[in-house]
Amino acid sequence: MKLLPPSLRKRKRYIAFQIISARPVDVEGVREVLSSSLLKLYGALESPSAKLIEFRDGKGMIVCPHDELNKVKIALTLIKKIDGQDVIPVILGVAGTIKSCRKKYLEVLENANSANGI
Amino acid sequence: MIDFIRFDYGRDFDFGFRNYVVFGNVTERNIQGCAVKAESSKELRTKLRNVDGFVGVMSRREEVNRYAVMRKKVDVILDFPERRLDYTTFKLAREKDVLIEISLRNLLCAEGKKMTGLVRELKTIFRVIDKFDSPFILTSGACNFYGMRPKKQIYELFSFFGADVKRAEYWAERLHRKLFDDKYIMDGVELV
Repeated sequence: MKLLPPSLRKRKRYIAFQIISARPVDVEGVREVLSSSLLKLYGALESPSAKLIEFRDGKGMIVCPHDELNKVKIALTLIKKIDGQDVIPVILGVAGTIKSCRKKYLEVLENANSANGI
Repeated sequence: MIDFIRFDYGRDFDFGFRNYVVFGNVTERNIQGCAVKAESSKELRTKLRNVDGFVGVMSRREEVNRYAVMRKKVDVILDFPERRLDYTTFKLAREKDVLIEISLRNLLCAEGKKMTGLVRELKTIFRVIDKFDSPFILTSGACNFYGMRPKKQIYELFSFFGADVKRAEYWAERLHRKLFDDKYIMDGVELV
């Protein structure tokens, strides 16, 4: 169904994450690995519907239903390789809206420097 | 909180652990652990005579692990993909106060059918641990930098498989005090 009234829509959660790797990884690689990790872990029946909505400079955001948040976090933790290179996926935090997720976790990292102690 | 790893980590990135114990490798920046690999009880007995410090035992055989739990020198039963433990070992671990390591490395290494079996075994292990209240520690067990994960993620993952995270934190904190607090003697007894 395309448009549901707000009361029937599923609540969402936005997961901010960072990928630590020796060389930069691309969006397509992350997208592919995330969906295959979810499918491998939970199978076609139980797999949560998670979507990568942005990924830039090793940092990104995933959206998923709020009741399947743990499943997505675990699938993300168990990712070990992207495009053949070893990576460490680090979950920065979870928020209820894109705006707060960006403000709390992604922009903080962008503006961080040793001078202000962050 | 303490993590058990298998390489000398330079602490370039903060994973949320206060200290790292390195087993099977030499370290100067972290705490040195002593890993004893044995395939029989006799071999274990011989090797234990020559070691000192924070001792961890690695064995594929159930009977060797059970025997290791009963030895006074042994502090922890280390985890690796082929490790096998039986029901009695968990009960003895509680009585003898020996930690049982449960590491993320096994899950990262496993794929397909092996993963299914491993998850099933993990769930059983956590049920037995709950029953006897055996000391256990959740670690990354990483062999290199890319095998490490933040503490929060490790705990969340094992919590999903049925681990009592609060209890795991208690055992980790207790180990930290045992290793670093000079005033700590045993539970409920400390120098004032």
